[in-house]
Amino acid sequence: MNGDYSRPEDLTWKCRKCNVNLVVRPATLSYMDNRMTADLPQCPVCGFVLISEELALGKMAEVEQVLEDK
Amino acid sequence: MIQYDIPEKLRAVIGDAIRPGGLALTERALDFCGFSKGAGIVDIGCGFGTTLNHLQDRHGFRVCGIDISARMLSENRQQPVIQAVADYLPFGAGVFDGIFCECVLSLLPLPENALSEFHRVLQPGGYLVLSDIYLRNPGQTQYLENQNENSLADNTGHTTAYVHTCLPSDDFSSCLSGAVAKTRWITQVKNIGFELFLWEDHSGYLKELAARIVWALGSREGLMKLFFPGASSVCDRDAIQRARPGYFLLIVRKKGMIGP
Repeated sequence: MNGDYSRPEDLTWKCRKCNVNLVVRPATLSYMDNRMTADLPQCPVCGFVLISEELALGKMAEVEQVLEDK
Repeated sequence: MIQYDIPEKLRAVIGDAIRPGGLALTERALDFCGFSKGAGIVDIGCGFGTTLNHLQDRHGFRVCGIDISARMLSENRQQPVIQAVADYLPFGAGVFDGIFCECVLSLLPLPENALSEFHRVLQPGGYLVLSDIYLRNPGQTQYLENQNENSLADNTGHTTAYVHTCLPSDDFSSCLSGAVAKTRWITQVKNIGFELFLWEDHSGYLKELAARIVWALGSREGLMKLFFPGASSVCDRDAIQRARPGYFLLIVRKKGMIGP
Protein backbone atom coordinates (compact mmCIF):
# COMPACT_ATOMS: atom_id res chain seq x y z
CA MET A 1 0.00 0.00 0.00
CA ASN A 2 1.54 3.25 -1.04
CA GLY A 3 0.71 6.65 0.32
CA ASP A 4 2.55 9.91 0.15
CA TYR A 5 3.61 10.82 3.68
CA SER A 6 5.98 13.61 2.73
CA ARG A 7 5.40 17.27 3.44
CA PRO A 8 6.78 20.13 1.34
CA GLU A 9 8.99 21.25 4.22
CA ASP A 10 10.56 17.77 4.41
CA LEU A 11 12.12 18.33 1.01
CA THR A 12 14.07 21.31 2.28
CA TRP A 13 16.27 18.89 4.24
CA LYS A 14 19.59 17.68 2.95
CA CYS A 15 21.34 14.43 3.72
CA ARG A 16 24.32 15.46 5.84
CA LYS A 17 26.41 12.51 4.79
CA CYS A 18 25.81 12.80 1.03
CA ASN A 19 25.03 16.54 0.86
CA VAL A 20 22.11 16.10 -1.55
CA ASN A 21 18.46 17.10 -1.32
CA LEU A 22 15.96 14.51 -0.22
CA VAL A 23 13.50 13.08 -2.75
CA VAL A 24 10.22 11.24 -2.25
CA ARG A 25 10.43 7.52 -2.95
CA PRO A 26 8.68 4.36 -1.78
CA ALA A 27 10.05 3.02 1.49
CA THR A 28 9.25 -0.22 3.27
CA LEU A 29 8.42 0.05 6.95
CA SER A 30 8.70 -3.08 9.07
CA TYR A 31 7.43 -3.71 12.58
CA MET A 32 6.74 -7.01 14.33
CA ASP A 33 6.97 -9.02 11.10
CA ASN A 34 4.52 -6.73 9.31
CA ARG A 35 5.55 -4.60 6.36
CA MET A 36 3.99 -1.54 4.83
CA THR A 37 5.12 0.76 2.10
CA ALA A 38 4.88 4.50 2.01
CA ASP A 39 6.28 7.30 -0.08
CA LEU A 40 8.70 9.08 2.21
CA PRO A 41 11.47 11.66 1.80
CA GLN A 42 14.85 9.99 1.58
CA CYS A 43 18.38 10.49 0.38
CA PRO A 44 18.68 9.38 -3.27
CA VAL A 45 22.28 8.33 -2.66
CA CYS A 46 22.40 6.42 0.62
CA GLY A 47 18.67 5.80 1.09
CA PHE A 48 18.48 7.36 4.56
CA VAL A 49 14.78 8.01 5.27
CA LEU A 50 13.40 11.07 7.04
CA ILE A 51 10.39 10.35 9.24
CA SER A 52 8.78 13.45 10.64
CA GLU A 53 7.89 13.73 14.29
CA GLU A 54 4.27 14.16 13.29
CA LEU A 55 4.25 10.83 11.43
CA ALA A 56 6.24 8.99 14.10
CA LEU A 57 4.03 10.13 16.97
CA GLY A 58 0.80 9.97 14.99
CA LYS A 59 -0.04 7.33 12.47
CA MET A 60 3.05 5.20 13.07
CA ALA A 61 2.42 5.06 16.80
CA GLU A 62 -1.20 4.07 16.14
CA VAL A 63 -0.17 1.20 13.87
CA GLU A 64 2.41 0.04 16.40
CA GLN A 65 -0.26 -0.08 19.08
CA VAL A 66 -2.53 -2.18 16.86
CA LEU A 67 0.27 -4.64 16.19
CA GLU A 68 1.22 -4.75 19.86
CA ASP A 69 -2.34 -5.46 21.01
CA LYS A 70 -2.75 -8.93 22.44
CA MET B 1 -31.38 -2.85 3.98
CA ILE B 2 -27.81 -3.77 4.84
CA GLN B 3 -25.52 -3.61 1.85
CA TYR B 4 -22.61 -5.98 1.45
CA ASP B 5 -20.80 -3.92 -1.13
CA ILE B 6 -17.37 -2.94 0.06
CA PRO B 7 -16.59 0.78 0.25
CA GLU B 8 -14.06 1.81 -2.36
CA LYS B 9 -11.90 3.36 0.34
CA LEU B 10 -11.60 0.02 2.10
CA ARG B 11 -11.10 -1.87 -1.14
CA ALA B 12 -8.12 0.32 -1.96
CA VAL B 13 -6.53 -0.68 1.32
CA ILE B 14 -7.23 -4.38 1.60
CA GLY B 15 -7.53 -5.37 -2.05
CA ASP B 16 -10.11 -7.54 -3.74
CA ALA B 17 -9.75 -10.59 -1.50
CA ILE B 18 -11.62 -8.55 1.16
CA ARG B 19 -10.66 -10.63 4.17
CA PRO B 20 -7.83 -11.25 6.60
CA GLY B 21 -5.23 -13.62 5.22
CA GLY B 22 -6.33 -13.27 1.61
CA LEU B 23 -5.30 -16.09 -0.67
CA ALA B 24 -2.62 -17.29 1.74
CA LEU B 25 -5.32 -18.69 3.98
CA THR B 26 -7.12 -20.18 0.98
CA GLU B 27 -3.90 -21.99 0.10
CA ARG B 28 -3.52 -23.17 3.67
CA ALA B 29 -6.96 -24.77 3.48
CA LEU B 30 -6.20 -26.42 0.13
CA ASP B 31 -3.15 -28.09 1.66
CA PHE B 32 -5.46 -30.00 3.99
CA CYS B 33 -8.37 -30.74 1.68
CA GLY B 34 -6.42 -32.41 -1.11
CA PHE B 35 -8.98 -31.73 -3.84
CA SER B 36 -8.31 -33.44 -7.17
CA LYS B 37 -7.82 -31.43 -10.32
CA GLY B 38 -11.22 -30.83 -11.83
CA ALA B 39 -12.98 -30.93 -8.45
CA GLY B 40 -16.20 -28.92 -8.29
CA ILE B 41 -15.87 -26.00 -5.89
CA VAL B 42 -18.32 -23.26 -5.03
CA ASP B 43 -17.25 -20.01 -3.37
CA ILE B 44 -19.97 -18.56 -1.18
CA GLY B 45 -19.75 -14.77 -1.16
CA CYS B 46 -17.31 -14.76 -4.05
CA GLY B 47 -17.28 -10.96 -4.31
CA PHE B 48 -14.97 -9.80 -7.07
CA GLY B 49 -13.94 -13.39 -7.84
CA THR B 50 -10.41 -13.32 -6.45
CA THR B 51 -10.66 -16.78 -4.90
CA LEU B 52 -12.48 -18.16 -7.96
CA ASN B 53 -9.70 -16.98 -10.25
CA HIS B 54 -7.12 -18.52 -7.98
CA LEU B 55 -8.90 -21.86 -7.66
CA GLN B 56 -9.45 -22.15 -11.38
CA ASP B 57 -6.20 -20.79 -12.77
CA ARG B 58 -3.78 -22.11 -10.16
CA HIS B 59 -5.41 -25.42 -9.31
CA GLY B 60 -7.60 -26.34 -12.25
CA PHE B 61 -10.80 -26.75 -10.28
CA ARG B 62 -14.23 -26.35 -11.82
CA VAL B 63 -15.58 -23.36 -9.97
CA CYS B 64 -18.65 -21.25 -9.59
CA GLY B 65 -19.56 -18.54 -7.15
CA ILE B 66 -22.52 -16.90 -5.54
CA ASP B 67 -22.80 -13.48 -3.99
CA ILE B 68 -25.60 -11.22 -2.91
CA SER B 69 -23.95 -8.15 -4.42
CA ALA B 70 -24.78 -7.58 -8.08
CA ARG B 71 -22.19 -4.83 -8.25
CA MET B 72 -19.35 -7.09 -7.18
CA LEU B 73 -20.53 -9.91 -9.42
CA SER B 74 -20.64 -7.53 -12.37
CA GLU B 75 -16.86 -7.17 -12.16
CA ASN B 76 -16.35 -10.91 -12.55
CA ARG B 77 -16.72 -12.13 -16.12
CA GLN B 78 -14.39 -15.10 -16.03
CA GLN B 79 -16.33 -17.70 -14.05
CA PRO B 80 -19.96 -18.68 -13.71
CA VAL B 81 -21.45 -16.62 -10.90
CA ILE B 82 -24.98 -16.36 -9.60
CA GLN B 83 -26.60 -13.67 -7.50
CA ALA B 84 -28.03 -15.63 -4.61
CA VAL B 85 -28.15 -15.80 -0.82
CA ALA B 86 -26.11 -18.28 1.17
CA ASP B 87 -29.07 -19.82 2.97
CA TYR B 88 -30.99 -20.68 -0.20
CA LEU B 89 -28.52 -22.06 -2.71
CA PRO B 90 -29.62 -22.56 -6.32
CA PHE B 91 -27.95 -25.99 -6.58
CA GLY B 92 -29.00 -29.60 -6.32
CA ALA B 93 -28.01 -31.89 -3.46
CA GLY B 94 -24.53 -33.38 -3.30
CA VAL B 95 -23.11 -31.62 -6.34
CA PHE B 96 -19.91 -30.09 -4.94
CA ASP B 97 -16.62 -31.54 -3.75
CA GLY B 98 -15.83 -28.46 -1.77
CA ILE B 99 -17.23 -25.18 -0.50
CA PHE B 100 -15.30 -22.07 0.43
CA CYS B 101 -17.00 -19.52 2.66
CA GLU B 102 -14.42 -16.96 3.69
CA CYS B 103 -15.35 -14.15 6.06
CA VAL B 104 -19.00 -14.39 5.03
CA LEU B 105 -20.88 -16.54 7.53
CA SER B 106 -20.66 -14.03 10.35
CA LEU B 107 -22.41 -11.48 8.15
CA LEU B 108 -25.54 -13.59 8.05
CA PRO B 109 -28.38 -13.20 10.54
CA LEU B 110 -28.96 -16.98 10.63
CA PRO B 111 -25.69 -18.70 9.77
CA GLU B 112 -27.05 -22.11 10.77
CA ASN B 113 -29.44 -21.96 7.81
CA ALA B 114 -26.54 -21.38 5.46
CA LEU B 115 -24.61 -24.24 7.07
CA SER B 116 -27.56 -26.54 6.40
CA GLU B 117 -27.51 -25.52 2.76
CA PHE B 118 -23.76 -26.11 2.56
CA HIS B 119 -24.31 -29.60 3.97
CA ARG B 120 -27.03 -30.28 1.43
CA VAL B 121 -25.08 -29.29 -1.67
CA LEU B 122 -21.83 -31.03 -0.62
CA GLN B 123 -21.34 -34.61 -1.63
CA PRO B 124 -20.48 -37.10 1.13
CA GLY B 125 -16.82 -36.73 2.03
CA GLY B 126 -16.73 -33.18 0.68
CA TYR B 127 -15.04 -30.37 2.58
CA LEU B 128 -16.40 -27.07 3.81
CA VAL B 129 -13.76 -24.40 4.37
CA LEU B 130 -14.75 -21.59 6.70
CA SER B 131 -12.63 -18.66 7.74
CA ASP B 132 -14.12 -15.96 9.87
CA ILE B 133 -14.00 -13.72 12.91
CA TYR B 134 -14.42 -15.12 16.39
CA LEU B 135 -14.30 -13.73 19.88
CA ARG B 136 -11.35 -14.90 21.91
CA ASN B 137 -12.77 -13.42 25.08
CA PRO B 138 -16.55 -13.62 24.62
CA GLY B 139 -17.30 -13.34 28.32
CA GLN B 140 -16.21 -9.71 28.21
CA THR B 141 -19.16 -8.47 26.18
CA GLN B 142 -21.54 -7.92 29.07
CA TYR B 143 -21.47 -4.17 28.72
CA LEU B 144 -22.62 -4.18 25.12
CA GLU B 145 -25.03 -7.00 25.77
CA ASN B 146 -26.75 -4.78 28.29
CA GLN B 147 -26.98 -2.03 25.70
CA ASN B 148 -29.02 -4.18 23.41
CA GLU B 149 -32.48 -5.11 24.56
CA ASN B 150 -32.82 -7.54 21.70
CA SER B 151 -29.63 -9.35 22.52
CA LEU B 152 -29.87 -13.04 21.68
CA ALA B 153 -28.03 -15.29 24.09
CA ASP B 154 -26.64 -18.36 22.40
CA ASN B 155 -26.44 -21.80 23.91
CA THR B 156 -23.01 -21.13 25.36
CA GLY B 157 -24.38 -18.24 27.36
CA HIS B 158 -22.55 -15.69 25.27
CA THR B 159 -24.20 -12.93 23.40
CA THR B 160 -24.33 -13.17 19.64
CA ALA B 161 -25.96 -9.87 19.04
CA TYR B 162 -23.65 -7.43 20.68
CA VAL B 163 -21.87 -6.40 17.56
CA HIS B 164 -25.11 -5.95 15.70
CA THR B 165 -25.76 -3.15 18.14
CA CYS B 166 -22.92 -1.29 16.56
CA LEU B 167 -23.66 -2.01 12.94
CA PRO B 168 -24.65 0.65 10.49
CA SER B 169 -28.25 0.23 9.48
CA ASP B 170 -27.85 1.21 5.88
CA ASP B 171 -24.18 1.14 5.17
CA PHE B 172 -21.39 -1.37 5.13
CA SER B 173 -21.70 -4.49 7.21
CA SER B 174 -18.43 -5.99 8.41
CA CYS B 175 -17.63 -9.61 9.19
CA LEU B 176 -17.32 -8.59 12.84
CA SER B 177 -21.10 -8.31 12.85
CA GLY B 178 -21.82 -11.91 13.81
CA ALA B 179 -18.65 -12.98 15.53
CA VAL B 180 -19.14 -15.53 18.29
CA ALA B 181 -16.92 -17.77 20.39
CA LYS B 182 -14.94 -20.75 19.05
CA THR B 183 -17.19 -23.14 20.94
CA ARG B 184 -20.24 -21.64 19.26
CA TRP B 185 -18.78 -22.00 15.77
CA ILE B 186 -17.82 -25.61 16.38
CA THR B 187 -21.15 -26.47 17.97
CA GLN B 188 -22.96 -25.04 14.98
CA VAL B 189 -21.13 -27.11 12.40
CA LYS B 190 -21.39 -30.27 14.46
CA ASN B 191 -25.11 -29.76 14.97
CA ILE B 192 -25.55 -29.64 11.22
CA GLY B 193 -23.81 -33.00 10.91
CA PHE B 194 -20.29 -32.07 9.82
CA GLU B 195 -17.16 -33.79 11.11
CA LEU B 196 -14.55 -31.43 12.53
CA PHE B 197 -11.37 -31.70 10.49
CA LEU B 198 -9.28 -28.66 11.43
CA TRP B 199 -9.46 -25.53 13.59
CA GLU B 200 -6.59 -23.06 13.44
CA ASP B 201 -6.20 -19.63 14.91
CA HIS B 202 -5.00 -17.02 12.42
CA SER B 203 -5.60 -13.88 14.45
CA GLY B 204 -2.30 -12.49 13.23
CA TYR B 205 -3.92 -11.94 9.84
CA LEU B 206 -6.69 -9.91 11.46
CA LYS B 207 -4.15 -7.79 13.30
CA GLU B 208 -2.17 -7.27 10.11
CA LEU B 209 -5.28 -6.16 8.25
CA ALA B 210 -6.28 -3.82 11.07
CA ALA B 211 -2.81 -2.27 11.00
CA ARG B 212 -3.01 -1.73 7.25
CA ILE B 213 -6.38 -0.05 7.60
CA VAL B 214 -5.13 2.16 10.45
CA TRP B 215 -2.12 3.08 8.36
CA ALA B 216 -4.36 4.07 5.47
CA LEU B 217 -6.98 5.86 7.53
CA GLY B 218 -4.57 7.49 9.92
CA SER B 219 -5.91 6.35 13.28
CA ARG B 220 -7.49 3.55 15.26
CA GLU B 221 -10.45 5.86 15.62
CA GLY B 222 -10.89 5.68 11.85
CA LEU B 223 -10.81 1.89 11.99
CA MET B 224 -13.50 1.78 14.67
CA LYS B 225 -15.69 4.23 12.81
CA LEU B 226 -15.42 2.22 9.64
CA PHE B 227 -16.36 -1.10 11.23
CA PHE B 228 -18.46 0.14 14.14
CA PRO B 229 -20.07 3.46 13.24
CA GLY B 230 -22.69 2.76 15.89
CA ALA B 231 -20.10 2.32 18.63
CA SER B 232 -20.09 5.93 19.59
CA SER B 233 -18.82 5.80 23.11
CA VAL B 234 -15.43 4.95 24.49
CA CYS B 235 -17.13 2.23 26.54
CA ASP B 236 -18.48 0.60 23.38
CA ARG B 237 -15.07 0.55 21.77
CA ASP B 238 -13.39 -0.73 24.90
CA ALA B 239 -15.94 -3.54 25.10
CA ILE B 240 -15.21 -4.56 21.53
CA GLN B 241 -11.51 -4.59 22.24
CA ARG B 242 -12.00 -6.59 25.44
CA ALA B 243 -13.83 -9.25 23.44
CA ARG B 244 -10.54 -9.70 21.55
CA PRO B 245 -11.73 -10.40 18.01
CA GLY B 246 -9.62 -13.07 16.36
CA TYR B 247 -9.65 -14.96 13.09
CA PHE B 248 -9.90 -18.69 12.44
CA LEU B 249 -9.67 -21.28 9.71
CA LEU B 250 -12.13 -24.13 10.16
CA ILE B 251 -12.36 -27.13 7.87
CA VAL B 252 -15.19 -29.61 8.30
CA ARG B 253 -16.19 -32.66 6.30
CA LYS B 254 -19.55 -34.04 5.34
CA LYS B 255 -19.83 -37.55 6.72
CA GLY B 256 -19.82 -40.45 4.34
CA MET B 257 -17.66 -41.74 1.53
CA ILE B 258 -17.27 -40.25 -1.90
CA GLY B 259 -19.07 -42.44 -4.43
CA PRO B 260 -17.50 -44.08 -7.51
